Amino acid sequence: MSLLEVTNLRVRYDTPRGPVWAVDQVSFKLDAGETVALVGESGSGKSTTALAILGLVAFSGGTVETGEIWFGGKNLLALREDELRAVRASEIALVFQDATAALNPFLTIGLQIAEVLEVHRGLSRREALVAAGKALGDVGIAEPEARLASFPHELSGGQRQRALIAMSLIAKPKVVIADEPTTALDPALALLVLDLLRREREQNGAGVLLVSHDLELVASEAKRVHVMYAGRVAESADADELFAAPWHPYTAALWRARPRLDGERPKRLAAVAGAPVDPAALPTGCAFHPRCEFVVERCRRERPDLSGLLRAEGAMSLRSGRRSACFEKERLALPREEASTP
Amino acid sequence: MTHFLARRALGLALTVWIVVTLAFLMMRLVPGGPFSAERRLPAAVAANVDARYHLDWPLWRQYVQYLGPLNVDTHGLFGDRERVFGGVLAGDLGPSFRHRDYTVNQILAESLPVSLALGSLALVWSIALGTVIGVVGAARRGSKLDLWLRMGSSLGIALPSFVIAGLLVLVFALTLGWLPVAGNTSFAHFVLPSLALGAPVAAYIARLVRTGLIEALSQDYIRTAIAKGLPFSTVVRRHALRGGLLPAISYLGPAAAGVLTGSLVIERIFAIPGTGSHFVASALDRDYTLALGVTIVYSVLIYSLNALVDLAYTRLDPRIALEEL
Repeated sequence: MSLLEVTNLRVRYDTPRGPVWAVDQVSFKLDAGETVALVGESGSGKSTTALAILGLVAFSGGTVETGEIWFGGKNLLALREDELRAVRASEIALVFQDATAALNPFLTIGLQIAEVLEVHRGLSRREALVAAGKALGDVGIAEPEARLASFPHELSGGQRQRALIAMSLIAKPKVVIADEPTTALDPALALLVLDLLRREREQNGAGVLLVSHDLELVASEAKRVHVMYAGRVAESADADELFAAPWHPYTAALWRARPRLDGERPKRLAAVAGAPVDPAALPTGCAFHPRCEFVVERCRRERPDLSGLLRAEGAMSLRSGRRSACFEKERLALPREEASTP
Repeated sequence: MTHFLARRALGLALTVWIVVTLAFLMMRLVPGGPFSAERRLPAAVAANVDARYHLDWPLWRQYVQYLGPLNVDTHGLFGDRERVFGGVLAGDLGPSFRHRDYTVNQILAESLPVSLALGSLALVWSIALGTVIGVVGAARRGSKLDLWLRMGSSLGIALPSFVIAGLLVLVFALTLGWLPVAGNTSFAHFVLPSLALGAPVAAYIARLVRTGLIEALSQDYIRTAIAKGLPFSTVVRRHALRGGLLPAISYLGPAAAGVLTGSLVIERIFAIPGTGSHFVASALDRDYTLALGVTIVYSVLIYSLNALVDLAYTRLDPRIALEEL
């Protein structure tokens, strides 16, 4: 059994323009000691999926409509609020992206870290502060005991980011959800964050759910990748397979659009053609069809389900669990020479 | 801290001086004088009265005499002829022009404690109740209870104080007979007026706390606190309340100054001899010295309370440093 298993998750937001399903029929698994990534543009539903795991979509006005989230033999979606509270930070922790916004400006760093241990481990304030000091030292903050009494604005950006991670991981959670952990960070800081997450995975056997739009990052960090588009999973595959040969036109377009440091520098960065999808007015059929270069008539009428290949490599795809929600995946998956040979 | 206090003391002196000067000039610009409302006096009598109150002096000399601290009075009305010091800077607000035989100092010494007592009572209950209502409304946002509380506070703001006072008297004094109708001889006499005086303040605080807290609760760091598995009560109390109270606290400075100096309407209805009625009456009567006296009291109070608010801000928000204020 997997450490964390999400099945058929569906999250609805009621907007003035009608209901919007930010997450629709999303399923994936996460095992201990591995990194799984959710990738997609803004509005693809990847962050909402992450928030739903800890029951935090209500905070932004969303409702989990259907689905199951299994963790430690319990369906998190069926838990009472106080049972869910015991899971938060203690078993499943969220690392938010912006440390400046995620830390409370009115409270000291020490208190913000210590209160996690007070509420989950029953430590006294003094014991918890000692542990918090250790945790700050572990993430590489100089003079950690002195920093306990500091307020967030008294720290540098890098120290804040370190403190936020120390706070998120202090209760040794089994699952770490990192929501865009490196977005808006300078490269050195991004490396630090990834390093700390990797350490958590390797030393403590935590499963890491990486939510990101950064394909390079995902390619280097994740074992398995789920590409999301308009609230649905467009393609699921192991990272090396996925980027070697995408089975979904959206993955292919995303991969082409990533900024490159090597090779010739293009005048303009490539972009995925067309406008990002409007979640309140989804197109009929496949949500990606207006932007797709492989579009056929069927795409406009029917919505493709996630499935493996029918022909040739179908057996292999079954084994690796590789799946794509595209009617024309064969055209992408099978090398053109092979398809054109008589 | 010393630095802050020194700067505020200097600011207070400067502000009050400007206020006094402007108020002095404005009072004199208004047509009519302290004695013009009475029946027309013979020219000789009018000249005598003017001379007695130094209204025959050039304006600059009246101003210098009023401000002090040197006594330039030669008649002895503003004090002893032999006295070296006099005027506002010597702590002497002068004689009242309308309340014969009373100095402004005496009038304020009698009426201000009454207003301060009534105002303090009103402030204490309105701050406490307003905060509780605001917090409950924000925590139960969108519920039936929240709706009722919001309607209540809208009423508290919209209803004029004479309506609230009238209703209170009708119900609690005349119908139920629990409390006296008017007067100021016992604590029971202060209950109804303090309710009427504090009602709009409580309502306003409730609204400010509610919106402030809702704003604070929508911050990213609140989501972090929830994701840490803290109980919602802890999230509100520890993480949201400080930020949520800031708007209400900045409103409290001017509001407290207004409540503490009394209200004409409340004092008239409940027959309470406070300062509030002097605010209006002295200006209408052209009682120059009394009008200036209450203006000084009010500006000192509002300036000090605002300094207190700033001080409270630095205690609540660690990002605001005392030295920068």
